[in-house]
Amino acid sequence: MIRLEKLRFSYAADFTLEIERLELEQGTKAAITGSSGCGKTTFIKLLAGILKPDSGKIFLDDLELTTYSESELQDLRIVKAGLVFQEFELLDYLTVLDNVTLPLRINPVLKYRKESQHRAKELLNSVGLGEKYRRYPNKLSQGERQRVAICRALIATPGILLCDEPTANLDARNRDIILQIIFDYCEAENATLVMVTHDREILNSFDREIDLQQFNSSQTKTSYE
Amino acid sequence: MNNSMYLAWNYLKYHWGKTLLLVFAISMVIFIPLVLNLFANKGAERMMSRAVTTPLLAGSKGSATELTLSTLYFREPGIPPLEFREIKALENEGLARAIPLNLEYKVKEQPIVGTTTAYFDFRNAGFASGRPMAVIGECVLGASAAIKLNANTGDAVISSPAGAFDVAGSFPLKMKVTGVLKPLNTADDEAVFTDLKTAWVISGKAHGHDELTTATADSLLLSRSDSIAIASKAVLSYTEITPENINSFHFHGDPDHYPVNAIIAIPKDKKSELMLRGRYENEVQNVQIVVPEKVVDELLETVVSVKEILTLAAISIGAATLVITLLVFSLSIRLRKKEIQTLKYIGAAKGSITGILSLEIVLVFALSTLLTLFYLLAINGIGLPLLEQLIQ
Repeated sequence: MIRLEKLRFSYAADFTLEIERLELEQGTKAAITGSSGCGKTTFIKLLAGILKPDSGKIFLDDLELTTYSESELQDLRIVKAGLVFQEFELLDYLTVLDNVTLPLRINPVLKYRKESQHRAKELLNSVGLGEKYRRYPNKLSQGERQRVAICRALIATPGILLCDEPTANLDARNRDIILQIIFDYCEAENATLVMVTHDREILNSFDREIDLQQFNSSQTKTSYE
Repeated sequence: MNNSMYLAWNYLKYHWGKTLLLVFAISMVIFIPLVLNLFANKGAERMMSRAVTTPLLAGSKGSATELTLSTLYFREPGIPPLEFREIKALENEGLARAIPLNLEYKVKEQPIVGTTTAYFDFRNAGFASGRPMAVIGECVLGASAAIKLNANTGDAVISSPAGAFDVAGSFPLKMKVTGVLKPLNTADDEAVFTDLKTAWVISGKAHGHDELTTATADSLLLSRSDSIAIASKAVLSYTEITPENINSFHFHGDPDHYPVNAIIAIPKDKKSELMLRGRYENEVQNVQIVVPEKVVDELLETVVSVKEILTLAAISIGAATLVITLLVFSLSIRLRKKEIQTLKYIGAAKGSITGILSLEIVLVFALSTLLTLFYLLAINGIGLPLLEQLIQ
C-alpha cells in the first residue's frame, strides 16, 4: 500500500508538486502520465525515498518515509521497492547474472547467498534470458537489457515496483514482453505497480491512471508557480 | 569473496587494459627506487668484498682510484706502468709477497691479465678443467671468458691488437688454453690469465723468429757482422709459441725495465703492512701503495650520495604519481557518476559505494605491489648476475 498525504515538493523556484491525498491499495497497477516536465520522475523518486518532500507524508505500507534517515531509506528501499529505469542503468562491467544479483551485494540488509544465483537464474529463465546469464550488457539488445533490469528489480521480491518509462526505448514487441513480465510479477506477488508512461496504448492494462498535469486524478495536483 | 571486493575486482577485470596500465605505472614507481637501492647496495657489497680481499696495491704515482679500479676490475690502466724491478724492490723489503699484473692487452673484449700462478692461490681460484699456465704462450680462462670466447682447455685464443692504428704495437699471439677457472662471480671470470712473460711477448718486448746466424738465413739479413745480424722485413716473428720454437723466443733489453701495471702486495702481517705503507709513502718517489678497501670506501661515499639523490628523485616521482593516480581515480568517479547514482537508487548501503571504490584503489595498489615483487624476484634471478657482470 502507498499513501501520500498533503505532499508538497518544489524545485528550481518554478516547479511545485502538490498532492493533497493519494492512496494506492496493495496490488494496484497505476500508470503515471502527463507531459514532459510535469514531475513524473520526481513522483517516482519521492515514492522511492530518493527525494524528500518539502512537507507532507509518504507511507509505504505503514512506514512513514519522511521519518527515516537517508541510510535507513536506502535499507528500506532495497527491501520494499524494485526500481526500473528508462535507460536500464545496468553496470557494464558485470555479467547479466551479476547485474541481477547486484542489490543483494550492495546492502547487507539483503544477503547474497549461493541460492541467490539460483533465484537470479530462475528470473532470467522466466524472461527468456536463461542462456545469456554470462554475457555482459553490451552484448544484449535493448529489450534484453530492460529484461535484465527488471530481473534486478525483482530479485528481492519487492512489494512495490516503481518503473520510470521502462518501455520508452523499446519497440512494440519488446514493450509488450516487458509489460507482460511486470504485470505477471505483480499478479503473482500481489505487488503494487507505479509506472510512468507516455504510451496511451497500454493504459488499459492498468487499474488506475494518475495524470500529474491534467489534474484529472481525483486528489492529485501539479501546479506551476 | 566479499561482495564489495567482488564488485571492485569485476570492475578492474572488465577494464583490464586501463587497470594494467595503471598497475604497471604504479609498480614502476615502487620498483625503480627499490631496485636502485638494491643495485647500489649489491654493487657496493661486491666492490667492497673484492677490495677487502686485496690487501695492498702498488702502482705508479697518480690516481689511487684509477689504480684500484683498473687492478681490481682489470680495466685499461689510466696511469703509466711501473718497471718490473719495482717488484723485486718490494719483495726485497721482506715485508710482503708481490704478485705482478700486466693489464694492457685483450683477447677480443676479455682482458689479458699477465701475472704469475700465485694469483690463482691468492684469489682461491679453482680449476673447472685443466691446469695453470706453465710456459710462455699458455693461458688460463676465467669462467665467463671461456663462454664468451667459446674456448675450452686445449683450444687456443689470439690476443687482439692494442689499437686499430697501431697493429704493430702489440703482438697477435696465439695462446694455448691450458685451463678454465671455476666461476668466482668476480672480475676474474672475465679475464684471460697468462704468464707475465707472455704479456711481454704480446707487447713485443720479447719475440721468436727464424735463426739468423746460419748461412742459409743470409737472404733474411740486411747486414751481418761478427756480433750483430740485422734482419730484414722478410723475417717474420712467430705468432704462436710451440715446443719447436720456444727456444727462439728472447727478450730485447733489460727485463727489469719491462712494464707492470700494478702489484698486489700481500703483507706478512699488520705490522709489515704498516711498515710497507710507511716506507712507500715517505721514501719511494715514483711508486704509490694504496689500501683498496679505503679507496673503494671513499668511492662508495660518493655513490651513496648519488643514491640518496636518486632515491629522493624517485620519491618525488612516486609522490607525483600518487597524486596523478588519485586524480585519475577522482576523474573516473566523476565519469562513473551515473553508475554511482544507480547504485544509490537501487539501495546501496551507506558506505558500500565508498567501500567498492576504495577497494578498487586498494586492489590496484596491491596488484602493483605484487608486480613489483615479481620484478624483484626476476631481478634477483636475472638482474643480479647482470649487475655482477656490470660491476665486475
